[in-house]
Amino acid sequence: MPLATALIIAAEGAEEASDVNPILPATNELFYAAVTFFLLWALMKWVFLPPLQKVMAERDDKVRGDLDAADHARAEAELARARYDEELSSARAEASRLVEDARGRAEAKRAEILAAAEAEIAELRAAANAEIAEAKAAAITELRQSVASIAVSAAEAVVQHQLDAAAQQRVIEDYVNRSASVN
Amino acid sequence: MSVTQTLATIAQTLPDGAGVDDAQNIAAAQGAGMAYGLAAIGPGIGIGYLVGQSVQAMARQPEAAGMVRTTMFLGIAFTEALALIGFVVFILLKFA
Amino acid sequence: MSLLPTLLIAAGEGGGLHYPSIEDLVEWPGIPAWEGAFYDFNKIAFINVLAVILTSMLFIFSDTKSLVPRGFRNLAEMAVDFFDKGIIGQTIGHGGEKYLPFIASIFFFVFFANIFEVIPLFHMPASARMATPLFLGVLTLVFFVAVGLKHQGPKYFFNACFPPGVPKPLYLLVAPIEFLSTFIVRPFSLAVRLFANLLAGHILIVTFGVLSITLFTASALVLILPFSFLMLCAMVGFEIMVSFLQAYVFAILAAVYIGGALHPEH
Repeated sequence: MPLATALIIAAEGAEEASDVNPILPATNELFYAAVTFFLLWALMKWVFLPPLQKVMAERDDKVRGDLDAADHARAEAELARARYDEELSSARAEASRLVEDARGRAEAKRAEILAAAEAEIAELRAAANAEIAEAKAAAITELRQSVASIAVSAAEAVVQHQLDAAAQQRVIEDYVNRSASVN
Repeated sequence: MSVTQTLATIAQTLPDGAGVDDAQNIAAAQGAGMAYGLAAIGPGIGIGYLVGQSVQAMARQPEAAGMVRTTMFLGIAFTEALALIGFVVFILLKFA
Repeated sequence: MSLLPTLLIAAGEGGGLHYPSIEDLVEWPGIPAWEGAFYDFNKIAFINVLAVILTSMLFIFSDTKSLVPRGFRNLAEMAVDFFDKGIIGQTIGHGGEKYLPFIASIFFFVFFANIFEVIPLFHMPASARMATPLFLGVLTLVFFVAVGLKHQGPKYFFNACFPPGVPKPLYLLVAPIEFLSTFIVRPFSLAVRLFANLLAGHILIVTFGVLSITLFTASALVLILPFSFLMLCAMVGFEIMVSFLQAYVFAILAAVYIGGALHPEH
């Protein structure tokens, strides 16, 4: 058992060893460790940390306040936007209503105008038709009268110049030419 | 094997002129090396297992990584203490 | 079996590798006139004083006039935030704000006592001597017992030794263990953890330093020198991390103990 042996030997050796064990703390080092640590602790507690923590807390508060303010402003902006949106949509509805209205009115007007024009046209057409018919009738009457008179005149002429065929022919032609020039 | 026998065995292998102190030093050095070597086995396995599990935990739940890391360091500190006590025993055996 | 002792003795007699003894590594002479007195001022005491001065400088140079942090105050605020949220908030929780000065002092004191391990011209952690860690460990014990007595009265000792939820007969076993672990093991484990970590780191750095120097003078072995030197550099980086981590662990364990004394249910 080399381990046990070594342990025993080491224990025996430790009793004999005159020099200081490297594990044991030295008094002067303990003293300075205590003094310096208590100094550092006191400085930390009363000098270094309070202002730093204070300013950090202040900054935290400020950041929190700023964030709150930003939230608030955003909420307000949201509200204003909603209001604006609402107004906009109502205005848009109004405008479309107006446009719709105007269109309706224009449509009605157009129909009206159209109807009036059609009526007028129909009236005019009827008048024209009547006039034409009247003129036609007048022309037929006139023609009938002139044909009759021509026939009567021609017959007269024929009767006046019975003996001479050539003369008759001439008379007829003469008459015809005359009536033609009259006509 | 008794202490005297061990010392005698070591003394026989020593060159001429070496005293009992040298024999003691050699035995202490052997014991010290073995003490530290044995003390390092357990904590080595332990820390490896601990860190491995912690990494697994952190990979599964990255949002809990901070807490796992703190606990891991605590665990390492406790486990490592065993190896370090072994090291102190080494120092005691070798130099005290 | 005969090779190893021969080598060891050869090394001891000033062979190739001369390794300094542990006393040469960690013990420092004081002022000769004060030799042996309790106020003997040596390197360790000087490092402790420097820890106070450096911490003070951090706070003195951080200007607390304006709301916006500048320069050193960024660092100071980061530290305070870290103690507040990372250490106290995680362990003590509600009602732990008033222990901030203690935790902050512990952290800064331990950190600066550690970090001198890698600062040139010092290369000695004050925590590698038992004095600083032991003092801080015992002070933490006194502090958390005081907190417990203040908040729970004399019942604190009873609460500490008799945790709830244990079957009655088991208290015969549990109470002594709890008493030992709370009032004996806690301060000494705090102290030994810090001390052994820093002493181990110091010895490691010394080992690689000595190895580098030895290899530099030896002829053919100089080829191994770069590896030894790189290892030394890596150790310095590692020890910076250890310095911070040990300060953090010490502070967080102190906070855990204070929290346990503050809230009896834990």
